[in-house]
Amino acid sequence: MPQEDKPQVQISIRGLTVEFRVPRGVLRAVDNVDLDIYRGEVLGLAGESGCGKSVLAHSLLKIVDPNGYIKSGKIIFDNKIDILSLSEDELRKFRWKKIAIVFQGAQSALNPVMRVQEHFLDTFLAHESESDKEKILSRSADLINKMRLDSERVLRLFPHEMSGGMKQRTIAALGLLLNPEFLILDEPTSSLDVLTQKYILKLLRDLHEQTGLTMLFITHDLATLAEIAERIAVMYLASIVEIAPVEELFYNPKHPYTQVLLKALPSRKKSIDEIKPLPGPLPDPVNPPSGCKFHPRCSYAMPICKKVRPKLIDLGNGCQVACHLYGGTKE
Amino acid sequence: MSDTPLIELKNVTRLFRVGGGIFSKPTFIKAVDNVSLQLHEGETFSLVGESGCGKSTLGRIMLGLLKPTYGQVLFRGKDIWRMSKKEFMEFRRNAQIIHQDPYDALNPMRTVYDSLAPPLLRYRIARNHDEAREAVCKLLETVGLSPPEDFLKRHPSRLSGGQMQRIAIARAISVQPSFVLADEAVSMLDASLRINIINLLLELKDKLNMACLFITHDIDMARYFTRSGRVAVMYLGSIVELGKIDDIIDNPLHPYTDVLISVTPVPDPKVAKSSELPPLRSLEIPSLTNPPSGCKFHTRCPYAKDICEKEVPELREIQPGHFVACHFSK
Repeated sequence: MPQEDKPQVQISIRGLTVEFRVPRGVLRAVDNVDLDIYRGEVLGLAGESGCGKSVLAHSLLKIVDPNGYIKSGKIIFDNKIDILSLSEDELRKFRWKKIAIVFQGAQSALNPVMRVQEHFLDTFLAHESESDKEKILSRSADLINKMRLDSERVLRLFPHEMSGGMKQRTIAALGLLLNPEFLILDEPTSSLDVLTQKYILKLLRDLHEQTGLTMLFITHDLATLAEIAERIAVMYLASIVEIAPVEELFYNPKHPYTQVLLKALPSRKKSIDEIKPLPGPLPDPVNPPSGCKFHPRCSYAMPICKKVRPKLIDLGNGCQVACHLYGGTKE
Repeated sequence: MSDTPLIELKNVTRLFRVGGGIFSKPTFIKAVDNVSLQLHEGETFSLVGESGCGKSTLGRIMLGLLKPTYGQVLFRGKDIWRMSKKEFMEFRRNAQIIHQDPYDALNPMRTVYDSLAPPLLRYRIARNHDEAREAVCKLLETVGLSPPEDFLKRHPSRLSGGQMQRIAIARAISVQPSFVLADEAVSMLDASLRINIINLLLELKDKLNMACLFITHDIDMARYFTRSGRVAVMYLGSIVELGKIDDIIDNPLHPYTDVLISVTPVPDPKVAKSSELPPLRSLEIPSLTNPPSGCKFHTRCPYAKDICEKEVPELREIQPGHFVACHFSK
């Protein structure tokens, strides 16, 4: 929960736009996004695949695929570091030490011909000048133990000798190696089965409680966010449509898109008839609809929605929404 | 329900050989261990369990893609491994699969038409390419891809995950099967799209009167899919609980089922944040090369007693239609 005294902004994103050149034209993956992430919080970033949530998160480390570019915007870390203006050298020192990322697809993030310990050594040496191998390995062992794995054994294993859950936990440990202040978790649990998923969520929750590390948790599955996030930002076709504290978002969703997303979640606590599929198809992201991008699928759409793109407006209680139903259309 | 089940498994066991070379002795693992199961015409049935519990192997045995090491697979009362070539081909037409990963299931070099037309021609559902084209268009509309002409010439690289899964479904139903196996068919898709795809499957199931077997690790998904049907919970190759889905969710009798239900995420922050880890004695699933003696769950079961180490529990009917393999269920 955000503390009583004013929470401190750790990362401030303003007007961020990221585009990709694709055969059919230009795909805007992140469209003029403003977002503040507070120190010590767990922020969930949710949305369907292709909505730009991973692109947004990768931009925090100035990582963009070769066919993409950051068109405009600013990302300020700790009120002083302008991430997008860092040089390659400065970035190398910044990445992993300040912000670390646990990439999607744990299964393929490890090099299949390297033992786990070599991954840890390599990562450390690439970002730090420390060269005492024993020291690095003992720190690695500590982190692996924290993930409730047997470090003696795991450090000597090759990736193919580990199960999916073990790999995922190993990668999370690797992300913590340089003691980052900010950890990005990109779909860390989506490819795992429910039992392993539950354990990893619990581990991350404990880790957050112990260290107060800021986390950005990206997923398409809102149900996992109910368990770990304190605040949730919902993205739809490159824009953030709603930001709210987790309970507010689940019990009192404002944006029609958030509402349909929640209705599409199956749960044994709901009757079958309460579970509803998403309406209509996802529009072509290269030619997104005019005005509010959700209007072709929205059951509350009004004439204005076709014409004017709604801005994020503040509704108080930490809730922000970009929807004409809530006014704020003067501009 | 007719008397003869559509597909019946009788004491099916499947061994896989692991390791072993010219000089070293191979070891065998039991991926499926003495499973008996009946699937009726038009039934919805779910198979639930952790990864590696043998649920996909069991599915492949039901489709005739794998031969059981011991036991029998009957299709409408006939042993599929004693069928003539013609009968077996007819069985294969009747039993179709929708794979977990739509990205791997479609040949990236083939257009949608080239993926869908060959089975129609092979099984003489269409006699020539003109008829096949018409049938493919109809199929695409059935699975909600319209206008179909837009999709005929597309390659999988130009389809989204949901669209690919729709093509995979179209391909499975194109040959008018009486049984479709959906092996984790929605787990690769976005949470928000899963319901759309399951609704499509259920709609087609009713329309074509197919039996559907849904394999998943998510009991909430199983509930949404199964409706009034049955579910079997598998653990290390054996069925530990079998019954109507609502009976099992409301009143799980096997400790393992209880664990599976308790770890399935609930989209409610108050419930989710106060949830605790299940009282399992170990997180890691035991190795199949050296499975535990007696009840295979005893190494992780919080209630295990001496008897569980020694004796294998039988699958017993505890309440009408509700079967459990646990020494302590009453």
